[in-house]
Amino acid sequence: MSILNIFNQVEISHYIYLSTVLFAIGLFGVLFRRNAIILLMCIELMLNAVNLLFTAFSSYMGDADGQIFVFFIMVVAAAEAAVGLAILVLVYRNTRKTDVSFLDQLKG
Amino acid sequence: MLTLMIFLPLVGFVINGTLGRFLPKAISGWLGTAAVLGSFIIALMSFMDLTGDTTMPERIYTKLFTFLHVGNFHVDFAFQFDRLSAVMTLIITGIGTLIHMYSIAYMHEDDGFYKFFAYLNLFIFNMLVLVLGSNYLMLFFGWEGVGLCSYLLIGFWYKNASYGKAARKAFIMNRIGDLGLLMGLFLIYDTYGTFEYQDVFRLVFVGSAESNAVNTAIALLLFIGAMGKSAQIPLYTWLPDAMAGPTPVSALIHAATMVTAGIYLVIRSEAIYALSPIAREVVMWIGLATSIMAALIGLKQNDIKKVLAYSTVSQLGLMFIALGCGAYTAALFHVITHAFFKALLFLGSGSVIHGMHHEQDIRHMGGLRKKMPLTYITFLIGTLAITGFPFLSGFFSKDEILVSAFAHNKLVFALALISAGITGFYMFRMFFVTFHGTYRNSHHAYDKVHESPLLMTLPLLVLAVLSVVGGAVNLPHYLGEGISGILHHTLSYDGGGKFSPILMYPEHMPEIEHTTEWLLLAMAVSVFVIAFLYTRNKYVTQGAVPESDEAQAGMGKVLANKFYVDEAYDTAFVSPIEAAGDVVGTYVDDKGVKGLVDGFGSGSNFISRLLSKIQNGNIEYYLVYMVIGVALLLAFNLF
Amino acid sequence: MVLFLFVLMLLNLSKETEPVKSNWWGIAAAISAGSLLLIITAAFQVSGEAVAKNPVEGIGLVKALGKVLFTRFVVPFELTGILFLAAMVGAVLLGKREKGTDALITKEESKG
Repeated sequence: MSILNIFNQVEISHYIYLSTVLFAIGLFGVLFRRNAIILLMCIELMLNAVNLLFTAFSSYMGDADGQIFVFFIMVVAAAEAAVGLAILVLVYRNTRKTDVSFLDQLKG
Repeated sequence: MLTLMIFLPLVGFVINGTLGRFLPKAISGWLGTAAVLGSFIIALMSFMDLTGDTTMPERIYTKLFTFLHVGNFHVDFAFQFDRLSAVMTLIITGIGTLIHMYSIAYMHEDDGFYKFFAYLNLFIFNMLVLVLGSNYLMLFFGWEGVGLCSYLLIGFWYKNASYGKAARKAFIMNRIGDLGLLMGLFLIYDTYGTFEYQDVFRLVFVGSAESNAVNTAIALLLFIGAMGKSAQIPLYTWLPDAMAGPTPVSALIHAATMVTAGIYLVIRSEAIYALSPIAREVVMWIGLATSIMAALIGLKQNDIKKVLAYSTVSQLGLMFIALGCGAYTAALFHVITHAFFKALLFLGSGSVIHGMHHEQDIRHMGGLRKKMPLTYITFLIGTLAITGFPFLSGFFSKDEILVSAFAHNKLVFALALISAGITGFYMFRMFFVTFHGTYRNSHHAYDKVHESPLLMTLPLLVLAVLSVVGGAVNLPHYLGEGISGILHHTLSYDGGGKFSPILMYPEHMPEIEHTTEWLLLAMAVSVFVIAFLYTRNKYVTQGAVPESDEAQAGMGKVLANKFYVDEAYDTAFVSPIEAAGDVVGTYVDDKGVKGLVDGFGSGSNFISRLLSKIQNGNIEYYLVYMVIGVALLLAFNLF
Repeated sequence: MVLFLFVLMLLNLSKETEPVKSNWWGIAAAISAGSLLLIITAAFQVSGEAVAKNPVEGIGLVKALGKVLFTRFVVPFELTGILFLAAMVGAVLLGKREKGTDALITKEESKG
């Protein structure tokens, strides 16, 4: 019960701002960085920002659905990271680079 | 019965048109002839019903179906067989049968034999619809139909480009007249609210005095249509060019039937014309001008058929003079007699052309009377009839026109008399140069000149007999009360007051003293004699031959070149329109429309090339696009 | 995150310098991200009061979470299991060492 009290003393709006800013920073990283690994890490950042928001709402409203959703988001994030890194390793083996801008064979 | 009469030729057209290619020529030809003959017999029987019966109905009316029914606008596909249309139908089908018979022999070697008969039958059908329609719209239906058939038949030998041009000229000039006719029809509907003859004329008769201006407008517009169809000034130049068609076509369409459609229209609309003296004056003067001008041109023509063409135009002018003077019976009388002798003359000239193996220039003929005696005699009868030899049919009809002209306006009479005189000159000129004198072609061809076969000479004989006795239709009253004026009585008959006659406004027969009438008669005859003697002297005794084309000089040259009217029309109307067509063709069509359509293609090409640059395969760009897209979506959802 | 570290170890990227993008990219990225930030914030401003759909007791506790997970959401739970299986198989297959290429890396590294 005391845990809940501490949580309720911080307004939900703070969580919203924090989560949104994290998301935006992650987004900026995705758009600006060229290294594929950094790219994937920034995507993780975005996902985690959303997780945070879901959890915050779930605790403030007493609704368990938010946390369930977080659960599933983490699952999907993990799967995606695994497959994404595997692809990255393959690409590195073929081109000896981790630069994303060299992957433009599908143009036109 | 009426329906059968009208649709028999149509059946003939369908059979000949679809199966004619597989039928032997004899069957195809006789089939076409039988169709028209059937119509003639039915017409004859119906005519007996109309006139011989004691009850004497006003008309036989048959409604087939409702043609158009839109709101208040109601038109029936209906026919009426009354005294006027009966007379016209007898002529159309009677002379039509003779000409069909003639064509079997004349078109014998032609490949398009069955097509010819199909077109001829179609023409008869349309002409019958024209004269038998019970309302103005049916008249228009037939009017357009005969215009079409005229085009088809003039350009029958389609492989020759100039024939096609003549056909188009005929059709287009006809169309110009049709514009006037259409506007007249619209005005009729607007004023009287119906197209049916009976209703319109009753309304005209009842509401007489006030609507004079409207009636004049209607009358003038209808006359414009008649101008086109019956070849009056200024829409007459198609008729001489129409001689490019086979001779039976010229005989049937451009002498006896189609060109009289304009006259029929005016006679039918007698009630309207009776109420507008202005329109009648216009009709008369135009008829007079046409008559004289065409006669003058005919003086210097050297193609056998062209002389007859201008003669037709001139005679039609005479008929319009009669109409303008209010003498409707005289005009119809002249239609009948003209049909007889003009068809005879055309068929005779066809016989000559056939015998001379398609030579048409009279300067290359001569002395044919020994080689083609039957043609010679019938042609002589025809010539005498048209020039007004006493007691032949043409004499009576022309005389009646002259008398009515005299009663109306002395100047018109004088000019009409001059026109009649010139008729004598050019007809006898042509006759003597062709049949008398010495033979002017190669001797090799002379041996081949032969009299035409029976199928061609039989119609000639029949028509010759008719040309002689045809005057009995409407003899002048000084020859006796019992036998005179039959046509006039037919048209004015009102069943003892039971119904309205064809001529609703009683035709005032000219009140002229007997002595004046004999004087007029004498003048007409003397003009004939002068023409005959002069031409006989020049062309037979002196053996003169018309000059060649290069040797024409002065007034002769002007006449030979038809007063340069064709050239004037060309410069004034045809060339500017063609030039305008060229301009529109290059700018509007070629560059404008084509540019627009092509522009769509090249435009889309351009845009697609632009847009394809977005897909450069680079992930970074794609990511930015995605983010922007999501942002826009969210923004739209919010606001 | 451990996964990331393993990959880094595999790639041996210590010598590589990070390629720098031009400034324009930075501006474009900043604008796009910034606009999205703004829009999301604005969305939160205009949106209405949130309502709980299925409130449960003892929200912070794992017990409550487990209860909802294994009753209402058991089917998606199983499906995610399958998803994991697929991802694992895929990752292993993709990362498998081919005979030729991998030998190249080890040889170079051993030389350098």
